[in-house]
Amino acid sequence: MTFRLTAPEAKTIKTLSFVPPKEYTMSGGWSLFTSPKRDLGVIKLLFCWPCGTAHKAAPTLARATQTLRLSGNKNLSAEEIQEGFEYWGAAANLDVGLLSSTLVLQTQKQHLEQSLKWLMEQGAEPVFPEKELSVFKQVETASLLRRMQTPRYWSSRLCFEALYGKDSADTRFENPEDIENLRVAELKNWFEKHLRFPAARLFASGDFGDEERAVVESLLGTAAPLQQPASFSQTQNPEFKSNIRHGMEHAQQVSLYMGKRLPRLTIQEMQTASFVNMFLGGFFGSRLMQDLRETRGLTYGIGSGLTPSAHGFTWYINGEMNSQNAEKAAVATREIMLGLTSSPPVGEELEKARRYVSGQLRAGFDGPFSLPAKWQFLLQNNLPESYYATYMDRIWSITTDEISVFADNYLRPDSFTLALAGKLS
Amino acid sequence: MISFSRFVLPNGLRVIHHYDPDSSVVVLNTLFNVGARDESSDKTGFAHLFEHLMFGGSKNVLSYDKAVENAGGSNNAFTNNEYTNYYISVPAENAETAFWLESDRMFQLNINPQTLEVQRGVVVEEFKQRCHNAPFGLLWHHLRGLLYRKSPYRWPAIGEDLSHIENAMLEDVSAFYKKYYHPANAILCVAGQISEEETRTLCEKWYADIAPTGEVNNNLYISDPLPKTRRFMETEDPSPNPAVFMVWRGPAFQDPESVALEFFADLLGGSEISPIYTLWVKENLVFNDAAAFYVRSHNEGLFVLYGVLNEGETHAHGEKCLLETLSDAIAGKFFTERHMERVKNKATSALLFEKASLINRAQKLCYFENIGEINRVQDEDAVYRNVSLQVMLKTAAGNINPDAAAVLYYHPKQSS
Repeated sequence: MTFRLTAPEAKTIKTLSFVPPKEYTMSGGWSLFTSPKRDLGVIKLLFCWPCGTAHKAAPTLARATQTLRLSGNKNLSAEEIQEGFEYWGAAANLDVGLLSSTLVLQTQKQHLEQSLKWLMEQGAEPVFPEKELSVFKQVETASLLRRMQTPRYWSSRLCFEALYGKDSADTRFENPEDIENLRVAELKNWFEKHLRFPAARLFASGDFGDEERAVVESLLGTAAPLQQPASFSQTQNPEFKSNIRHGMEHAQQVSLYMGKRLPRLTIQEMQTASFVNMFLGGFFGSRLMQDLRETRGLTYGIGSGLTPSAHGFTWYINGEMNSQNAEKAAVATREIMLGLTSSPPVGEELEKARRYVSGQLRAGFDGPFSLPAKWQFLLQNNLPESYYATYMDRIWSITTDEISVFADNYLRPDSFTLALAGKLS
Repeated sequence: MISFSRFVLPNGLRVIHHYDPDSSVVVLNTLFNVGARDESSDKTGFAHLFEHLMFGGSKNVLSYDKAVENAGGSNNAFTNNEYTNYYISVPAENAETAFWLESDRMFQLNINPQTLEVQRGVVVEEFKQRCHNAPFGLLWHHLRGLLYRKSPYRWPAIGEDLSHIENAMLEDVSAFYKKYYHPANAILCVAGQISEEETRTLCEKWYADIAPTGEVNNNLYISDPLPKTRRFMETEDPSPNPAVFMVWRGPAFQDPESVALEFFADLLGGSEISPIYTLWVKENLVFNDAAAFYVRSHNEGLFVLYGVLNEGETHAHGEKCLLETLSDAIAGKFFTERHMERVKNKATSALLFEKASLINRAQKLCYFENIGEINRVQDEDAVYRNVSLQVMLKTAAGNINPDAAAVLYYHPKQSS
């Protein structure tokens, strides 16, 4: 059994191995990106509009419009339209992010023509029936009120509002009255301006080849010129708050949320930020997870990340813990942030993160449906096709000093807002 | 069609190999035939706590997670009432690292007081996060408690009571490991860009010397008779919305009737065009959310029907609305052949999308092997196609007695 004493050699991953999507301009002017065909029997068609909640004229409008775009037209009700998809085993999944709106048509290959035809016919001219908007308001208000009972909701909301102000494009939190104030005419206007089918980019993946492309081409019609992503007016910086506390009587835990505004970064800075974040709380082996969870057992999970904002990124840290551990966790988190400057990763820690991130970067391209989201990210952020390959290079070339300097520039704890919500001791 | 081959090592470890040339990774999925149903009633949550301890290192692996990360891989696990499942995914060129790691923790796990203390703390926080901080977080505690009296299915995998986890002792943990975590009680699926020959060679090298330390789990459990009358409880929850939940026990996964009930639940309340949703959420505004679903599992399934009430609506009225629609559906009022075609097409699509994921395929193969019917992994769609409208309605009538529901009322918690 001595063979068990020695770990098999783990090879480093330094290259990516994927076939990039092909871009086609179809006869109607549509831009279509296709992933390599896989023999699965199913297809995903992703329609993506460069418009999300950050482009809002009023809170919730972008979300409500996208959610209700298949809720009825002058001939058919929401139920009849939905039934048409389900009959073919298809689904049209709608979503809205900060900077984009998406519709994913999931269908069996054998039903591609029927389900796409149905989508294009029934989804082109929505009327947003009053009844459907009324149900939307009722369901969404109840759901919002339930979320408002959780510590996590309030820690993140109060942190974002402190960072960006309540009315900024980046404050994605809505109130019951925002939902109540929605009007059909506003939804129609929003749809006309931003969400018509021809204004979308299209990505196909799964069992999608030349025959399927011909089917899509025959059904799409003529595209409108793609919209440029809207620009946003710079929001006023609210007065900086370092500490926010929000007590919740019924809560059993405390949610910790720390956040900081980052400006728009260069490609290399984005890659550096992404890699530095891994050491902070970006994976299980990060300093936050290892210290707060694995060494001290203070939390089930704590992590950090970078989320896009209208003008750059927000760097955030979030976790839930016992009330008596919350202040302890906040102090430890600050120490870990400072530690990335004073004792940046070297040797084994640096090597392990490089190996982990490079392996995961490559694995992220695995599977038949992985490419569309990655290409959507590139197009949305005006990044070159080489972004992922250069990130791989950056992982292996970044130095300890660069990490330390970057952490000193962007991760000083006193530049972050800390919000604690829940059962405060 | 999922292509696979299967072999058994002399120590009883069942191995399934599944080749996927399009993948750049290799997945090792290990299923141990032990879940929350194997716990004693004063030590619930143990199988799940043990899942956490499996990441605490082993005789020759100081840190499991560090080694996975060093190989560029990722891993995770889950525990349910019936089994515990671990998976690791690594770049194909590092497949052997996964064999080393997974076999070493089956060979000799490093169980020590420090790891136990830390993971007890982590699991206690997980319990609070999932069960106390989330709306309706204790739902499955209440529903299972209503349905079962003696059966070990009466608590969920997270555990019945926090104190059971807080009081877990080292000797309990060691005995649990010895009894259940050995090759004869496990199934390994090796999937991805790895040949069958290499899989056999690596299995021989890393697993063949691990001796079974216990028997194969016989999976015999006390069962409760089916409820014959309505069972009822009410409770408070921080959620601002009152709600009505109802649940019935139903046939096991292997029984084609379970598919019939899954279809019935989907048609009754599985989407926004179902009668439950259109009648009571959209038309009559009784609920702001309502649905039905069937949870298929090895021993038996659970048919759940619920509605979250709008302000001013009473629980009794909500229950009456749900039961009325259920009875009408069983009586054949709503569904036609077109509905059957629809629900089958949906199920086929869901199956095909599920199989697109390598990890899903590996887990599915282990699951079917564990229930003793691995070849049926190929028949799922055929089973779907065989369910007729008549069979579906007959199955619903035979299994769901509206007068014998387990009923739970949630009230918003009053501030003190």
